[in-house]
Amino acid sequence: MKVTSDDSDTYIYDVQLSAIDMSKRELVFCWAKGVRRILVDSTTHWPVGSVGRLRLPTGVRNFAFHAYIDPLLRRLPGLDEAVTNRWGWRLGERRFTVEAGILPGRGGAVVRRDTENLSLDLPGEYRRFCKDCGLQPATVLRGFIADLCSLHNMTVCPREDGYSSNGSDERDIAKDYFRRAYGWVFDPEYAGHWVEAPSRRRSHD
Amino acid sequence: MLMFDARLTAIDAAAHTASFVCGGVEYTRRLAFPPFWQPGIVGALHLHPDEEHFDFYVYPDQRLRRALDRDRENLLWWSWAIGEHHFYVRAGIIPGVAGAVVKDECEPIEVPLPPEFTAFCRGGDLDPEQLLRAFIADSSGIQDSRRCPREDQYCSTGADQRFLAREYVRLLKRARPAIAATDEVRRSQAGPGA
Repeated sequence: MKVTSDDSDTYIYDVQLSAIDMSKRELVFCWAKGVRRILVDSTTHWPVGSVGRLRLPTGVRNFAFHAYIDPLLRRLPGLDEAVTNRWGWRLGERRFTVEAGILPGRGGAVVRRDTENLSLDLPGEYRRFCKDCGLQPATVLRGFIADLCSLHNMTVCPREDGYSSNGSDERDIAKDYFRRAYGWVFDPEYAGHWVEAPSRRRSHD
Repeated sequence: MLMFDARLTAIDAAAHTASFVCGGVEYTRRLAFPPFWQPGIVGALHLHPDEEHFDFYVYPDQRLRRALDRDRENLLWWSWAIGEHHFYVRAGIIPGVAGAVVKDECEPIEVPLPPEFTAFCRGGDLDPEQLLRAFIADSSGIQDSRRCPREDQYCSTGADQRFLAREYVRLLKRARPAIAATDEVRRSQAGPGA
């Protein structure tokens, strides 16, 4: 398993937090080919025995440890599909692939990518507005879509397309916007007939 | 049938009809509303095939005239003239006062639409692109006016919507959106897959 020591985002997978020494404020991580003691300046919420991926600390950047939600998960590089950009994983005897970079959820659950690309022309005013806000135009659109549709990218079941709501306030405003701009689609007299599921319809009422 | 440079020649308030002349031919159509046009105005006349309904788009600048013979169809440009001055505007756009238009400066982007969003829009008989374009126009306060129309045809859907869309982006700016979940950041996190 290759570990880079520069400032790249490379992670080491299947790393176990084997010990916590709070007297020395030290975490001990071990994996197949190494052990690393890392100093921390605060308490941690991971229990000893947690397994996950580890990014080693570099000059100015702190370490990162993302514990697997399912402790039986293990990377299976032999199953990687470079062409389709998918990584292999195993959970006990079960083997499966997930889009590269995503940690599978509980029981290996993921929401598969099923997106359709839409080509949009972005006017200069919008690009400048986003730039002034310090946001990428695509980030704003993706955020709006996720908040409007209440899409959650949960650790227990991550989404391969990465769509994730930004919070309840954002969801409320996105839905308020939709109601104000296209409230007529909720009008029972509207010929288009709103066919959304009843549970979701209630949330818009 | 769309005809340019049609002149409204008369309005018969009693019969509720309007008469237009275009290319030397007179067309009379029934008015479905109290007339507010003044005879003499020039615009684009769209006659529906039923020979009853029509649309009349008054030129914002009454000096405007179409110069059909100069159109550049391969570029989808329509030619217009104000007096001796000729200019080109994207096909389908009627120029504003003094021929003003906001030129198209759009840059393309690919947005991967999740199935939930597509279903949400389709459920309301909306085109996903229509909704996203409205949000883009509202958040950046774009207004498409007759006096200075936009070639990209982006247009805000209203003042309330502009407020809400901007409020949304303001919240997003504060929230520092879940960038760790976006495709762009994830790719860099993925690394070599070791």
